[in-house]
Amino acid sequence: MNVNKVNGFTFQSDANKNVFTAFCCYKPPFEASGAAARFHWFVLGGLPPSDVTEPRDQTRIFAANVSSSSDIFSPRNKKFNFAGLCLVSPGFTGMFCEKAVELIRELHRMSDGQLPAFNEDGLRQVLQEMEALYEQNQSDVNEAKTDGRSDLIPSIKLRHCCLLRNQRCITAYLYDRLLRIRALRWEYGSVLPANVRFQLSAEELQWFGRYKKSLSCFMRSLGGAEAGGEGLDITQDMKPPKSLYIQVRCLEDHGELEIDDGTVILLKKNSQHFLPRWKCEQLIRQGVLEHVVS
Amino acid sequence: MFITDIRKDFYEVVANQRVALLVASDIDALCACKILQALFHCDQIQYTLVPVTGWQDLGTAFLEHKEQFRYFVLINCGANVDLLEMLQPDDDSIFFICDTHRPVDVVNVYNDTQIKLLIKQDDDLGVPSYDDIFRDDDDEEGDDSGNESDEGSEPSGKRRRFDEQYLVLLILSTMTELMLMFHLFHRREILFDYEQYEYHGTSAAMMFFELAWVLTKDTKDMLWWAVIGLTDQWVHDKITHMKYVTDIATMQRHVSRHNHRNEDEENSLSIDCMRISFEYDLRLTLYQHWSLYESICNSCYTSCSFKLWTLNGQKKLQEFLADMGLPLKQVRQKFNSMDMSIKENLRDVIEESSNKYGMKDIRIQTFGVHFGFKNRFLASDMVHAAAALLESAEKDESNSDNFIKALDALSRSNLERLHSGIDLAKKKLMAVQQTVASCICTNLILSQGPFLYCYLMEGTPDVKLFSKPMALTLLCKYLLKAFVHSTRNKRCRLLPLIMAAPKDVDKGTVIVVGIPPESETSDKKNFFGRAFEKAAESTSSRTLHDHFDTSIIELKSEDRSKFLDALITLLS
Repeated sequence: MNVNKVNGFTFQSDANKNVFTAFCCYKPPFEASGAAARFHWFVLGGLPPSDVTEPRDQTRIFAANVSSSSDIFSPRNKKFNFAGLCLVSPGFTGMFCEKAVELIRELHRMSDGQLPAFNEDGLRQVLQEMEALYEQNQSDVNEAKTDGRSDLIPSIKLRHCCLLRNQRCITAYLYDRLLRIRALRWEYGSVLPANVRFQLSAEELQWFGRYKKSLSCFMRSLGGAEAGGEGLDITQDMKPPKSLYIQVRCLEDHGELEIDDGTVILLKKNSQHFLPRWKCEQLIRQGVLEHVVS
Repeated sequence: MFITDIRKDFYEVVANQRVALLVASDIDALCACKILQALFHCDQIQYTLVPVTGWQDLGTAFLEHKEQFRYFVLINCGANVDLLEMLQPDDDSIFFICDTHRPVDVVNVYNDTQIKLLIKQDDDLGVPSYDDIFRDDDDEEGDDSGNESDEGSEPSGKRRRFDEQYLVLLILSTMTELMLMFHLFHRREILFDYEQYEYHGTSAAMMFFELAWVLTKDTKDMLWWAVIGLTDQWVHDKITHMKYVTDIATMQRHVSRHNHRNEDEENSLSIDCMRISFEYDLRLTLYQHWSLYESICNSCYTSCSFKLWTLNGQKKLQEFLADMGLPLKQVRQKFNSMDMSIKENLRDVIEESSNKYGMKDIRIQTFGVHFGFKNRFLASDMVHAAAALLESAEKDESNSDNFIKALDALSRSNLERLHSGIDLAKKKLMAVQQTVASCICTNLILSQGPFLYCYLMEGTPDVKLFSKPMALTLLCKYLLKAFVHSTRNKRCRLLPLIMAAPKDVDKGTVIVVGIPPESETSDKKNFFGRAFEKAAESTSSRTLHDHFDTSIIELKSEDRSKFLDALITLLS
């Protein structure tokens, strides 16, 4: 077992299998000793070259035996199967796929179903990164084919993994947003309040409209398939109701409320009412009424 | 008209309708409201609950809701005034009034269509009979038609007979006019006698509990609320002691009926179930949630008997405690942390000693509730807590906010509300005691001839608490009791008391309250309502008779002196 220490990283290598573990994967940029430039290190495995402190050719990625990109990029996994070391140009602001992961983190932060604004900038940056990677890959593939340079193949593989990762991240982001938007229909009803609608992109709004339509078609078809069928509003009574009528208290002046049989109730602050449950649910969600349990 | 069968004439009428509940701001009304709400929940009768604090509020609430509702239930408001004239409702609005204010206005009693009174026709209502007050117009018409026919049948008759007949007619018409005058005078006298004194009848909460019982839908919660409603009437001195004892006996029957479930070792009720028990407990306010010493110092009965605002009184209190063998350290602790050995026979020990010090009625019949391990409350505790919440003088809270808080505190599930109410009640009682002590010591109570008068200046500590009617009335009663105990003037002891306190500094108004004289056999009848009205009229003072109790009014501070002078001349 060879143990190498390179600038604070400890590597253990098994010379036979060319696979070894390291105890630290990614560290924030540090000053390489003896060099003026800063490096971002991606440890992909393999023996570090002896002249690791010197600046390398900036666009070349030196890698071999990359098992899968998820092993490399998962920040939690501190023990890695490495096959090599790579240097990236100092102008590069971070790892690949970092922007994509940030999109995911943004959604993860608002975990209770809230919808943050649609991050157009982030998405655009990720797509640009993907485009750049693709361009580089294209040129390298051509070079590899024509010039027979097999040492470019690991770098092509890496870029391809990064592209796939970006794609996965973006689709996860968009899909999770769609799931949250779908939940909005069940929470707010068919008309979204203005501040929520602001968070959706134009395409998401279109999707929401189509979802609403298909849901209402479905609801209408329930309770008798013939044309005269009344349908069933399944967005009411999400939990089995304990009683037909509930006691509610009015938290603010809301004006008049009309009930199914035409009678009108004046909702004034601090008045209490005993009303049918289905009429009150919307207003309770909006915060105008408060359910009183005594 | 009075309703005889409350189930048929009230409950079944509103059973499929939507009802508006207009509830006054006192604890009895709150309890009655809770009982009625529980009944409505059982039968899914839709209702809207609107709290009202005075006649203006009532009028506004009625105007807002008259389009949407046909049936109105008024709790503790509306019986002592001509409601139809005040509200001018449509012909199809029906009012069900359950009110403890007496006397019930005669128009309300004799209206058959729109006003239904949910009041028992007790013996003490004393409503004048219909014929005395309302004159039938048939007699007059009969006379007229008789006259006409006489005239018609003798168009040109003999002169003499015509003269005679003319004389007869003249005499008859004069007689009818005289009769009319007598009748009006008699009517005015009867009405004056009837409406002169204001007092209170059976608790509204008890009425609704009876309704629940008749429907066999009564629960222990409703029974407890009925007990609290009754106790509120006693705490705020609205009913006589005899009536209180009679009503307690009625409630005791219900309580034993509910406790009938056999509790032996095999099937005992869980500790969390609600148990109501009859207690012959001490008259010390909130003593189980306070320390015994504080409670003795701040309860009206003990404080007035010992005269705790004097040094002598303090010494007597120490003697009293020493006599009972209670160490000071124990007595100043929270009641729950007192030694068990002391707590066991506390009531008997205190009763024995207080007999020696002239306090014969230190114990009073009441009820207590017990649910869970920690929660024991007496009915009077709940009344004080809810009253303190209802009239809490916080700046940002409107009357309806306080109403909602107090209503919540009466439910068993809102114990933190109740405890905060108890804390507020303690502060209120301490403020009352200090104000009483300072008023007596600085001789702020002046005898004006026919009554005693006391004015609370603006800088008095806690004067904001006393801008509310119930708190001021409580202060008034305590002050009168203390005065009666402390004065040597025998004549002054029989006088009623009028008290004024600043209500709204911006508008420059004061709130004026009058209470009847203090005596053992007082029948709690208050004549100040009419007196205030007359005095205000005669001096054209700017007054607002907004409260449901006519003996509580709001007055502009500039008109205070002339109003008082008018009262003095009126009552002497």
